[in-house]
Amino acid sequence: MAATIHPDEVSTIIIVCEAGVGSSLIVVNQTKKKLRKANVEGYKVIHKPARLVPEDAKMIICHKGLSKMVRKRVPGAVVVAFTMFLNDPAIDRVVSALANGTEIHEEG
Amino acid sequence: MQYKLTEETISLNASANSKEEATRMAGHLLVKGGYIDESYIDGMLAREKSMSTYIGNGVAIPHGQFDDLTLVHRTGISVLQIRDGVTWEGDEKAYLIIGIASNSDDHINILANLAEAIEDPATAKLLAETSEVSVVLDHLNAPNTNT
Repeated sequence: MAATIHPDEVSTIIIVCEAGVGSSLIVVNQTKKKLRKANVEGYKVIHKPARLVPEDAKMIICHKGLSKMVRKRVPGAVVVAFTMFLNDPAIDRVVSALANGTEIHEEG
Repeated sequence: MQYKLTEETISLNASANSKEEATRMAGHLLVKGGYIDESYIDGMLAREKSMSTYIGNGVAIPHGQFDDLTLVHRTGISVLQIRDGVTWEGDEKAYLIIGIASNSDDHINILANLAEAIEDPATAKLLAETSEVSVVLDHLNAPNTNT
């Protein structure tokens, strides 16, 4: 059964990339804009390099190429992996789950 | 203090025959600006081999890997424009190559502007074709409220 998490349990969304200096920042920007557009408030969106993700992280978004490593490091988190840095539908699904208060499903 | 892009690390209307050559050029602009140790460029090349930094709409953001960040002297960005494009990932060509050196969050304003510029194909095209350094500076250094 795939892992899920309810928006009530999420306070911070961590966007992860390898070095933490490039693509994760692009995705942070995109995610914040999408949340604002959907009138979703109250979540922190931050970025981290894969090797520094806090072990108590609950909600992680990362590129598919890193999802295996991230899951191993933080087995308790729900990890959503994307493949495209711009307008990936996986991120839209997270935003719409947060907007609708429905479970976020692990994917990718 | 957010880093501001300067003319010194921008090269417009350049040409490169390969992604490797373009990555080196973007890296050498960062060396010239005093932002990195030259060996950081090897990290940029290694990163491209393991995972492409192509982000879409003709833009790539080459940078080193986590272990290479010790070779960064201070946060800096380079802009390499290749009007003919260079094949970057699969069939995708990059026209705007943004080299990133960072050991801080001082470049998030520029990357937020970049993210927005490339979401708009007209702006992406403008940056890929302009002959005016000021156009690049104005777009990327503008204050961004989405950071």
